[in-house]
Amino acid sequence: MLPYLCPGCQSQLKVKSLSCKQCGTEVIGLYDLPALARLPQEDQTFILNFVKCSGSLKDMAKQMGLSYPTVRNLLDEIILKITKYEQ
Amino acid sequence: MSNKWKWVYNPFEKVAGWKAFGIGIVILSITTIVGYFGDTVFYGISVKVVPNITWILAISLQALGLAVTVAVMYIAALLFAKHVRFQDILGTVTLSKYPLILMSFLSLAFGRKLASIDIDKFINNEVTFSDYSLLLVFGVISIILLVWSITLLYQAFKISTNLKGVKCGVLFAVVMLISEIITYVLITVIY
Repeated sequence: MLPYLCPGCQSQLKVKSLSCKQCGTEVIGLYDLPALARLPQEDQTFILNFVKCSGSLKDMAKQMGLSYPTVRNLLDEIILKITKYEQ
Repeated sequence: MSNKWKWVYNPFEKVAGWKAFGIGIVILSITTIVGYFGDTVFYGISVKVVPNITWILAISLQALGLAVTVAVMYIAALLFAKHVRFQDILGTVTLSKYPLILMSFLSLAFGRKLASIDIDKFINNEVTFSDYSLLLVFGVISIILLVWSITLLYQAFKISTNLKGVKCGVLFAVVMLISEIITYVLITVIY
Protein backbone atom coordinates (compact mmCIF):
# COMPACT_ATOMS: atom_id res chain seq x y z
CA MET A 1 0.00 0.00 0.00
CA LEU A 2 1.38 3.36 -1.05
CA PRO A 3 1.90 5.62 1.98
CA TYR A 4 -0.04 8.87 1.63
CA LEU A 5 0.53 10.59 4.97
CA CYS A 6 3.81 11.75 6.52
CA PRO A 7 4.60 9.48 9.50
CA GLY A 8 6.14 12.50 11.24
CA CYS A 9 3.50 15.22 10.93
CA GLN A 10 0.54 13.49 9.19
CA SER A 11 0.68 15.91 6.21
CA GLN A 12 -0.08 14.69 2.69
CA LEU A 13 3.01 13.16 1.07
CA LYS A 14 4.14 14.13 -2.44
CA VAL A 15 6.01 12.08 -5.05
CA LYS A 16 9.65 13.16 -5.28
CA SER A 17 10.97 10.77 -7.89
CA LEU A 18 9.80 8.17 -10.39
CA SER A 19 12.06 5.74 -12.14
CA CYS A 20 11.84 3.54 -15.23
CA LYS A 21 12.64 -0.07 -14.42
CA GLN A 22 13.49 -0.71 -18.11
CA CYS A 23 16.14 1.96 -18.81
CA GLY A 24 16.81 3.39 -15.38
CA THR A 25 15.69 6.92 -16.25
CA GLU A 26 14.72 8.86 -13.14
CA VAL A 27 12.24 11.73 -13.11
CA ILE A 28 12.71 14.01 -10.13
CA GLY A 29 10.27 16.68 -9.02
CA LEU A 30 7.54 17.27 -6.45
CA TYR A 31 4.28 15.78 -7.71
CA ASP A 32 0.91 15.52 -6.01
CA LEU A 33 -0.44 12.01 -5.53
CA PRO A 34 -3.61 11.35 -7.55
CA ALA A 35 -6.78 12.07 -5.56
CA LEU A 36 -7.65 8.38 -5.17
CA ALA A 37 -4.16 7.51 -3.88
CA ARG A 38 -4.51 10.16 -1.19
CA LEU A 39 -7.49 8.38 0.36
CA PRO A 40 -7.06 6.09 3.39
CA GLN A 41 -6.85 2.37 2.60
CA GLU A 42 -10.41 1.60 3.72
CA ASP A 43 -11.78 4.28 1.38
CA GLN A 44 -9.74 2.90 -1.53
CA THR A 45 -11.05 -0.60 -0.78
CA PHE A 46 -14.59 0.83 -0.69
CA ILE A 47 -14.12 2.43 -4.13
CA LEU A 48 -12.68 -0.80 -5.58
CA ASN A 49 -15.63 -2.81 -4.26
CA PHE A 50 -18.04 -0.14 -5.47
CA VAL A 51 -16.65 -0.42 -9.01
CA LYS A 52 -16.73 -4.24 -8.80
CA CYS A 53 -20.42 -3.96 -7.81
CA SER A 54 -21.01 -1.91 -10.98
CA GLY A 55 -21.71 1.14 -8.86
CA SER A 56 -24.68 -0.48 -7.13
CA LEU A 57 -25.07 0.80 -3.58
CA LYS A 58 -27.67 -1.90 -2.96
CA ASP A 59 -25.15 -4.63 -3.78
CA MET A 60 -22.51 -2.85 -1.70
CA ALA A 61 -24.88 -2.72 1.26
CA LYS A 62 -25.56 -6.43 0.90
CA GLN A 63 -21.84 -7.22 0.63
CA MET A 64 -20.89 -5.07 3.63
CA GLY A 65 -23.86 -6.14 5.77
CA LEU A 66 -24.88 -2.50 6.22
CA SER A 67 -28.03 -0.57 5.38
CA TYR A 68 -28.37 1.35 2.13
CA PRO A 69 -28.25 4.85 3.69
CA THR A 70 -25.17 3.91 5.74
CA VAL A 71 -23.31 2.87 2.58
CA ARG A 72 -24.53 5.95 0.71
CA ASN A 73 -23.29 8.12 3.61
CA LEU A 74 -19.86 6.41 3.42
CA LEU A 75 -19.75 7.21 -0.30
CA ASP A 76 -20.75 10.82 0.39
CA GLU A 77 -17.84 11.10 2.85
CA ILE A 78 -15.41 9.85 0.19
CA ILE A 79 -16.84 12.24 -2.42
CA LEU A 80 -16.34 15.08 0.04
CA LYS A 81 -12.70 14.08 0.61
CA ILE A 82 -11.97 13.77 -3.13
CA THR A 83 -13.60 17.16 -3.81
CA LYS A 84 -11.41 18.67 -1.09
CA TYR A 85 -8.26 17.14 -2.59
CA GLU A 86 -9.16 18.41 -6.05
CA GLN A 87 -9.49 22.01 -4.87
CA MET B 1 -19.71 0.41 22.64
CA SER B 2 -19.78 -3.05 21.04
CA ASN B 3 -21.63 -3.84 17.83
CA LYS B 4 -24.04 -6.03 19.80
CA TRP B 5 -25.34 -2.97 21.68
CA LYS B 6 -25.65 -0.92 18.51
CA TRP B 7 -28.92 -2.75 17.90
CA VAL B 8 -30.24 -1.02 21.00
CA TYR B 9 -29.40 2.58 20.16
CA ASN B 10 -28.71 2.57 16.42
CA PRO B 11 -30.01 -0.43 14.45
CA PHE B 12 -30.21 1.70 11.29
CA GLU B 13 -26.57 1.14 10.36
CA LYS B 14 -27.62 -2.43 9.56
CA VAL B 15 -31.26 -2.09 8.61
CA ALA B 16 -33.22 0.68 6.89
CA GLY B 17 -35.68 1.19 4.06
CA TRP B 18 -38.56 -1.24 3.43
CA LYS B 19 -36.99 -3.97 5.59
CA ALA B 20 -36.94 -1.63 8.60
CA PHE B 21 -40.50 -0.60 7.77
CA GLY B 22 -41.60 -4.25 7.69
CA ILE B 23 -40.01 -5.05 11.05
CA GLY B 24 -41.19 -1.74 12.51
CA ILE B 25 -44.80 -2.15 11.41
CA VAL B 26 -44.99 -5.64 12.96
CA ILE B 27 -43.64 -4.30 16.27
CA LEU B 28 -45.92 -1.26 16.06
CA SER B 29 -48.96 -3.48 15.41
CA ILE B 30 -48.15 -5.62 18.46
CA THR B 31 -47.65 -2.40 20.46
CA THR B 32 -51.05 -1.09 19.36
CA ILE B 33 -52.85 -4.39 20.09
CA VAL B 34 -51.25 -4.81 23.53
CA GLY B 35 -51.78 -1.09 24.20
CA TYR B 36 -55.48 -1.47 23.35
CA PHE B 37 -55.91 -4.19 25.98
CA GLY B 38 -54.03 -2.02 28.46
CA ASP B 39 -56.19 1.06 27.69
CA THR B 40 -53.16 2.91 26.32
CA VAL B 41 -52.78 4.93 23.13
CA PHE B 42 -49.55 5.95 21.44
CA TYR B 43 -49.19 8.99 19.18
CA GLY B 44 -46.02 10.82 18.19
CA ILE B 45 -43.73 10.48 21.18
CA SER B 46 -46.68 10.56 23.58
CA VAL B 47 -48.24 7.74 25.55
CA LYS B 48 -51.59 8.16 27.25
CA VAL B 49 -53.76 5.91 29.39
CA VAL B 50 -57.33 6.29 28.09
CA PRO B 51 -60.04 4.13 29.70
CA ASN B 52 -62.32 2.23 27.28
CA ILE B 53 -60.49 3.09 24.08
CA THR B 54 -61.81 1.77 20.77
CA TRP B 55 -59.84 -0.16 18.14
CA ILE B 56 -60.28 2.67 15.65
CA LEU B 57 -58.89 5.21 18.11
CA ALA B 58 -55.90 3.03 19.09
CA ILE B 59 -54.94 2.29 15.46
CA SER B 60 -55.67 5.72 13.98
CA LEU B 61 -53.77 7.63 16.68
CA GLN B 62 -50.73 5.40 16.22
CA ALA B 63 -50.93 5.78 12.42
CA LEU B 64 -51.48 9.53 12.62
CA GLY B 65 -48.47 10.07 14.89
CA LEU B 66 -46.26 8.00 12.59
CA ALA B 67 -47.52 9.63 9.38
CA VAL B 68 -47.00 13.17 10.70
CA THR B 69 -43.46 12.45 11.94
CA VAL B 70 -42.50 10.79 8.64
CA ALA B 71 -44.03 13.60 6.56
CA VAL B 72 -42.38 16.43 8.51
CA MET B 73 -39.02 14.63 8.62
CA TYR B 74 -39.15 13.89 4.88
CA ILE B 75 -39.96 17.51 4.00
CA ALA B 76 -37.10 18.73 6.23
CA ALA B 77 -34.77 16.18 4.62
CA LEU B 78 -35.74 17.28 1.11
CA LEU B 79 -35.07 20.90 2.04
CA PHE B 80 -31.78 20.45 3.90
CA ALA B 81 -30.18 17.17 2.77
CA LYS B 82 -29.13 15.40 -0.42
CA HIS B 83 -29.84 11.90 -1.71
CA VAL B 84 -32.74 11.20 0.66
CA ARG B 85 -35.03 8.24 -0.02
CA PHE B 86 -38.57 8.25 1.32
CA GLN B 87 -38.39 4.56 2.27
CA ASP B 88 -35.36 5.24 4.49
CA ILE B 89 -37.20 7.91 6.46
CA LEU B 90 -40.35 5.77 6.63
CA GLY B 91 -38.49 2.61 7.63
CA THR B 92 -36.14 4.08 10.20
CA VAL B 93 -38.85 6.22 11.84
CA THR B 94 -41.19 3.22 12.06
CA LEU B 95 -38.49 0.99 13.54
CA SER B 96 -37.40 3.74 15.94
CA LYS B 97 -40.67 3.25 17.82
CA TYR B 98 -39.76 -0.26 18.96
CA PRO B 99 -39.12 0.67 22.64
CA LEU B 100 -42.84 1.46 22.85
CA ILE B 101 -43.60 -2.27 22.81
CA LEU B 102 -42.15 -2.46 26.35
CA MET B 103 -44.38 0.45 27.30
CA SER B 104 -47.44 -1.34 25.94
CA PHE B 105 -46.74 -4.44 28.07
CA LEU B 106 -46.21 -2.21 31.11
CA SER B 107 -49.52 -0.56 30.37
CA LEU B 108 -51.19 -3.94 30.00
CA ALA B 109 -49.92 -4.87 33.46
CA PHE B 110 -50.58 -1.55 35.22
CA GLY B 111 -52.62 0.66 32.85
CA ARG B 112 -56.03 0.07 34.45
CA LYS B 113 -54.61 0.52 37.95
CA LEU B 114 -52.94 3.77 36.82
CA ALA B 115 -56.16 5.03 35.23
CA SER B 116 -57.95 4.49 38.56
CA ILE B 117 -55.56 6.92 40.31
CA ASP B 118 -57.39 10.05 39.22
CA ILE B 119 -57.49 13.60 40.55
CA ASP B 120 -60.47 12.82 42.85
CA LYS B 121 -58.36 10.23 44.66
CA PHE B 122 -55.74 12.92 45.34
CA ILE B 123 -58.36 15.46 46.48
CA ASN B 124 -60.00 12.94 48.83
CA ASN B 125 -56.57 11.86 50.11
CA GLU B 126 -57.22 8.25 49.11
CA VAL B 127 -53.93 7.68 47.33
CA THR B 128 -52.08 4.78 48.94
CA PHE B 129 -48.35 4.13 49.21
CA SER B 130 -48.60 1.46 46.51
CA ASP B 131 -50.32 4.01 44.21
CA TYR B 132 -47.45 6.44 44.70
CA SER B 133 -44.89 3.67 44.14
CA LEU B 134 -46.65 2.61 40.95
CA LEU B 135 -46.79 6.19 39.65
CA LEU B 136 -43.10 6.66 40.44
CA VAL B 137 -41.92 3.39 38.83
CA PHE B 138 -44.17 3.90 35.80
CA GLY B 139 -42.98 7.50 35.46
CA VAL B 140 -39.28 6.60 35.64
CA ILE B 141 -39.63 3.73 33.16
CA SER B 142 -41.67 5.96 30.83
CA ILE B 143 -38.95 8.62 30.85
CA ILE B 144 -36.24 6.03 30.12
CA LEU B 145 -38.27 4.59 27.22
CA LEU B 146 -39.06 8.09 25.95
CA VAL B 147 -35.37 9.08 25.93
CA TRP B 148 -34.51 5.77 24.22
CA SER B 149 -37.20 6.33 21.60
CA ILE B 150 -36.08 9.92 20.89
CA THR B 151 -32.44 8.77 20.64
CA LEU B 152 -33.52 6.19 18.05
CA LEU B 153 -35.54 8.82 16.17
CA TYR B 154 -32.49 11.08 16.12
CA GLN B 155 -30.33 8.25 14.75
CA ALA B 156 -33.03 7.54 12.14
CA PHE B 157 -32.94 11.18 11.05
CA LYS B 158 -29.13 11.30 11.05
CA ILE B 159 -28.63 8.11 9.02
CA SER B 160 -31.42 8.91 6.54
CA THR B 161 -30.24 12.46 5.83
CA ASN B 162 -26.47 12.22 6.49
CA LEU B 163 -26.67 15.57 8.28
CA LYS B 164 -24.16 16.19 11.05
CA GLY B 165 -23.35 18.30 14.07
CA VAL B 166 -25.34 21.33 15.15
CA LYS B 167 -27.33 21.51 11.91
CA CYS B 168 -28.57 17.95 12.41
CA GLY B 169 -29.40 18.51 16.10
CA VAL B 170 -31.24 21.79 15.58
CA LEU B 171 -33.17 20.54 12.56
CA PHE B 172 -34.16 17.37 14.42
CA ALA B 173 -35.43 19.42 17.38
CA VAL B 174 -37.47 21.62 15.02
CA VAL B 175 -38.85 18.55 13.21
CA MET B 176 -39.90 16.96 16.50
CA LEU B 177 -41.53 20.17 17.72
CA ILE B 178 -43.47 20.71 14.49
CA SER B 179 -44.51 17.03 14.36
CA GLU B 180 -45.84 17.11 17.91
CA ILE B 181 -47.74 20.37 17.32
CA ILE B 182 -49.32 19.09 14.08
CA THR B 183 -50.22 15.77 15.74
CA TYR B 184 -51.93 17.54 18.65
CA VAL B 185 -53.78 19.93 16.35
CA LEU B 186 -54.97 17.07 14.12
CA ILE B 187 -56.09 15.02 17.14
CA THR B 188 -58.05 18.00 18.44
CA VAL B 189 -59.66 18.63 15.03
CA ILE B 190 -60.40 14.99 14.12
CA TYR B 191 -61.41 13.54 17.50
